[in-house]
Amino acid sequence: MMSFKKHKIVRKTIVYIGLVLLCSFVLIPFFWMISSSFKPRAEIFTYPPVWIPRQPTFDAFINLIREKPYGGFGFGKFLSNTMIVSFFTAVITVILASFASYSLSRFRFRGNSSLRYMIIFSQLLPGSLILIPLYLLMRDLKLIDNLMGLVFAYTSLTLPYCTYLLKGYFDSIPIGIDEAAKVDGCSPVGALFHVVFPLAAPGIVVTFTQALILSWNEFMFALTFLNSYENWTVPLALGSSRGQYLIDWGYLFAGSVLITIPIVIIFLLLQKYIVQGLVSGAVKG
Amino acid sequence: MSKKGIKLINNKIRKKSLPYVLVLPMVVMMTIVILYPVIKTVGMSFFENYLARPSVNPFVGLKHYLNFFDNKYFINSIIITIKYVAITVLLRFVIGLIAALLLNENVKGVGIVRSIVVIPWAMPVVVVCLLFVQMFDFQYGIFNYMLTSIGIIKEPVKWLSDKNLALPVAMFVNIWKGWPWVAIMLLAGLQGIQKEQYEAAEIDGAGYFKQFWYVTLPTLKPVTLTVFILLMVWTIKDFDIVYVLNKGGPAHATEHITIFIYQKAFEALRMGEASAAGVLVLIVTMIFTIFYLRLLDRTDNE
Repeated sequence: MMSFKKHKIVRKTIVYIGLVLLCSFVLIPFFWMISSSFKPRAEIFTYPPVWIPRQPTFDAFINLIREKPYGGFGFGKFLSNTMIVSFFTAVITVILASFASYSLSRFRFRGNSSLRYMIIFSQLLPGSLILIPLYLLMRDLKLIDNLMGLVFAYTSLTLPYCTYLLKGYFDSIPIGIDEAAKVDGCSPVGALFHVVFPLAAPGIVVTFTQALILSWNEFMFALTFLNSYENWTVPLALGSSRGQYLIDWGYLFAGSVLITIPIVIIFLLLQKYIVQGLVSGAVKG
Repeated sequence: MSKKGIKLINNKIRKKSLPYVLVLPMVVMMTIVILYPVIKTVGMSFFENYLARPSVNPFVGLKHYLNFFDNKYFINSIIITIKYVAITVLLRFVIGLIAALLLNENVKGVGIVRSIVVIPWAMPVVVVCLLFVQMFDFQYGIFNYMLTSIGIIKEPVKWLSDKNLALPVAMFVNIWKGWPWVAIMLLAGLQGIQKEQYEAAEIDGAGYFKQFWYVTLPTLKPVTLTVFILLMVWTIKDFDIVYVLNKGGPAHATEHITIFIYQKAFEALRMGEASAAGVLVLIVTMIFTIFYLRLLDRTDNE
């Protein structure tokens, strides 16, 4: 029989091998993306492929940002479209979701639980199902190819999820705090603004970020609702280049790097809270 | 009635209506962007829909539904969806579980690895797809290079345009992007297990695998069920990966149900038929949702 110490060493070795494998599985493609964005054109189209650019250059980034009429990709416009859409989606979502989830968390009213079921159900609803009527509705409202129209459509994705997430945060704030505020002479609405919202601030920030990320990455609705390229978001601009005859991989990689890095940084910074929200939202009610 | 009395009643009404006032904006928004579209889809599935001539949309009853039985593309898309969902859910779960067990070990550097594994989850889907399109490229792709230099394959392989390989490639991309979420969910579940439980098992003489079987797995059961249901539902509605990789091609080889619906609606412009297919997806989703709600209620009551 193996001695206890030997057993421990074996176990540790297996764990380290496993962790290294996991890291390389994740990092090889990630590294490939970053490395390729600094390659000159000739090094992208070369065989055997090169891991590290021999002559690193910012050409791809310059081409990416250069306006379309000057032979570039016009990334600036796509980026600002994406920012506008995600920002407004996140703001509208958080405002609507915080009032609603506060109410769901604090009051027992008729329809409370059926509303809760509806929210969970909407979260699981396939986007393709609501896509068609939403498209017809937006066409009638003249909101096709319009950034605000897209914001409107995105709330269907973010609102149920964010309401659910925020309800979890409100549930974790003891109701005694509301009552204490009421004793101090606050109205229920006053208690909400002066006591509960400030306490739930971290939760609200995380919810805002989640709505931001969801709309920042979204592709299908953008593809369906936006036509002219001045209105394209970054995921749509990148995704649409796939069908083109000649793909300029240089600026696709550069663009990928530029929209991925902020999201990865946000994720790493907020990881703890995102995981917390995720787990409480998905596992508990 | 005195002024004070009216004020009191007003206050009472205000207090009673407050919860409704607070949820109202959200409910209105959800009704417009979710509830109305769902009901409308169900309605549209019973009609012929001519986009160009909306005034003549005849009622056709169950025609669209019945037609699916001998539409070979529809049946093909169902088979592809089942394969795609079953294989990716299973593999994401297996990789996620192994990763969670590794990440739960108390060794040096595990914190950094926990941050690294989140990367695929954080990356935009479109970016992940493009990245793999390039890496799987026939001529310049790194995969063909690596596999030929190790000697696993002799000739470069046309990963994306081969109709037998396109679906496995899409699954691979899905798994690469999706396993970290599973790992993190399960890791959170693992961290909820008390150390004493393992210690007690160890005293009873249970080795690693016995501990895993009798302590870890039973505690993970609720999280596992949640993860499975959510993965199923999310994968059924998956669109981006297959669309960006191949638009459902080559030769319908990756055309799962969502792509089928999308192309019926926005390329063939047969909204009625597309809606009917959407309703079928809705029914499947509802079944999973009911399971999920039961599960939530059970964990609530514990």
